[in-house]
Amino acid sequence: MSFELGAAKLGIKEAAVWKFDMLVWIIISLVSLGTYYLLWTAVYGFSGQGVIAGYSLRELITYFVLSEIVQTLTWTSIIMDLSQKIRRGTLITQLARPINFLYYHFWMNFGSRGLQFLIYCIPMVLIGALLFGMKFTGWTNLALFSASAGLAMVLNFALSAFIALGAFWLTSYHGIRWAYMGLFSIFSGFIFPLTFFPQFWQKVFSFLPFQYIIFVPVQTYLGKYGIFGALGNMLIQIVWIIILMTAISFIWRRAMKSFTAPGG
Amino acid sequence: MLLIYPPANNFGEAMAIAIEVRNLKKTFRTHTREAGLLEAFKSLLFRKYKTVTALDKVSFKADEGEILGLIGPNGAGKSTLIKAMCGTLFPTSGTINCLGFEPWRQRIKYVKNIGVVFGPKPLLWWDIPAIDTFEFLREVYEIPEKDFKKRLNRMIEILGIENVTKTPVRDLSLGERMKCNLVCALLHNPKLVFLDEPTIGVDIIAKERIRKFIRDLNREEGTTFVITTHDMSDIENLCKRIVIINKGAIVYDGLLSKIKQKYIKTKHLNVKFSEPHKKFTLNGCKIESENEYELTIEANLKKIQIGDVTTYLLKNFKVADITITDPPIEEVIKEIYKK
Ligand SMILES: Nc1ncnc2c1ncn2[C@@H]1O[C@H](COP(=O)(O)OP(=O)(O)OP(=O)(O)O)[C@@H](O)[C@H]1O
Ligand SMILES: [Mg+2]
Repeated sequence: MSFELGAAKLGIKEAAVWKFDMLVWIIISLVSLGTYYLLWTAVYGFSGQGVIAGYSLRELITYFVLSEIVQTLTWTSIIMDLSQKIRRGTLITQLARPINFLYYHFWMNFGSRGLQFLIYCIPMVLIGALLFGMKFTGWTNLALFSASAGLAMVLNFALSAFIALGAFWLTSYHGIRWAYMGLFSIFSGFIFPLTFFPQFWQKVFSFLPFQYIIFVPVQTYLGKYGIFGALGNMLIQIVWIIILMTAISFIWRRAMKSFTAPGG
Repeated sequence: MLLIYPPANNFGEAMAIAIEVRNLKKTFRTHTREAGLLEAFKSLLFRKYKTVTALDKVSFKADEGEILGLIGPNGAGKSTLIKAMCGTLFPTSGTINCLGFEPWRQRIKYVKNIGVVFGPKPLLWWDIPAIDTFEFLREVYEIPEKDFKKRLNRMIEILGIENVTKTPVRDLSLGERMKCNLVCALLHNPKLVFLDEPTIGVDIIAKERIRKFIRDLNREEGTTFVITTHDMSDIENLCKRIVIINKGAIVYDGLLSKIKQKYIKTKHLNVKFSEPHKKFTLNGCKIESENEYELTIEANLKKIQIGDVTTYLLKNFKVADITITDPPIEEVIKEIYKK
């Protein structure tokens, strides 16, 4: 375990360098939480309905706080990092070491996420609960949510790593990263719950991995699935992780054959 | 850990082979494009590809415990060869065997045993002090705490980087970073070390210390080194044997001392006289400069032997002193590169 711990420590140390960025991240999240609150209060007020698309106002606010937290927890720099290392040829400095680069990156990211989570989670939850009426839905739901969010972290890493591998064949990868991030924020349920979409789209999303990264863990916390539904979703998360990891190890081997290690 | 491998000059035993490269070929496909905006746009639609042959039919061997110099002009293929030998580049054809491994097939098992410096490419995590990278490498290579401390302290002392290792890497100068890179490559006491321009940006004093450290490590631990550099004094100070590579092919493989014999066709004589000298003429000799008491001659060894020149001088002149020198190694290398 000491390699994993070492990588996580590196991640924490590197993340700690960006104290100012973390502060900005927290402030922006809190500001958007406030905006979100005002917007939806107005929507619920005008419509005169207590429940929209199955959500009360308090549930929706809770949804938003948690989706921010899960996003912080699952976020990874692998796409940016790998594409940059490929283009500049610095990936070879890691390949010349007895490590599996993606495995190392996962644990490094785990460290930086851990730090970010601790610093970020507390103000979000406090302000969400005290100012905006975020709900506590019980210990069972919290436990199920934690497990689901943990799997979401692995799943998002696997999915991002899978996307990142494209950089081995395409030199300019920024466009793809932006497109991916845009799609992700909608398909994952980060911006609003996927239940707001028509039935047809909800069906489509359920066949994609994205919703298992944010939407599903948050819905789990809100108690929308029940215990068995939640466990079933975790199984799907695990299946996605296995599928993606298999694809990654296959593509990685091909990538190594074509990698030209430019520069130097 | 002392003397596990046969030391470099232990000629009594048959030495094991550390590297064997056979018929190695590597081609790259790149796209070309003229300058200009219109051309940039055109290249989006129609890409012109061109194949570059970086290495062609490269074969050589290196013994365990050897310090091998790999030299050649820019773009010769040195870095490409190093990358292939580290298992980070898949060859187009040919085979490599290093320490009994096939580098790119058994990468993880193999690279445990090697150390690499890739020129100025940073081996360190950029935003944190170098010492944090070293600590991580201790976990990566599973170096025992005691060995880690001993080696690190020794290298810090030799390279004079006590304070450097505690500053975030991005704030370091090129030379300071290169010294830390070297520590990264050697911390785990690898059997085989590839140094691609390890002395780039390093000052003279540090260069000398690095060279001495490499020699010491080679003698004490029997570490094999492959070094590329554009600084011929690195080569003269470290390597008995060199491989010269030009346009992707090996043009010389042998002792450094032999290269002079093979390629040097002239010698320089500086003669001092005890009285103003009379006119000097001899077939095969060219006067480079002269004054009343001194004369510099270039002797063409194809036409005349050096002994005949000195005999002639001693017989006919009042000679106070003679110094015979080879042309500098740079001159020789330059001639080979030009071919
Ligand atoms: N990834 C790559 N893609 C395309 N061409 C490459 C790549 N890497 C190297 N080359 C080409 O292969 C040739 C050999 O390059 P290499 O870097 O091995 O030279 P070198 O001997 O290390 O030169 P230098 O002394 O400048 O470091 C060059 O012509 C270079 O343009
Ligand atoms: Mg080079």
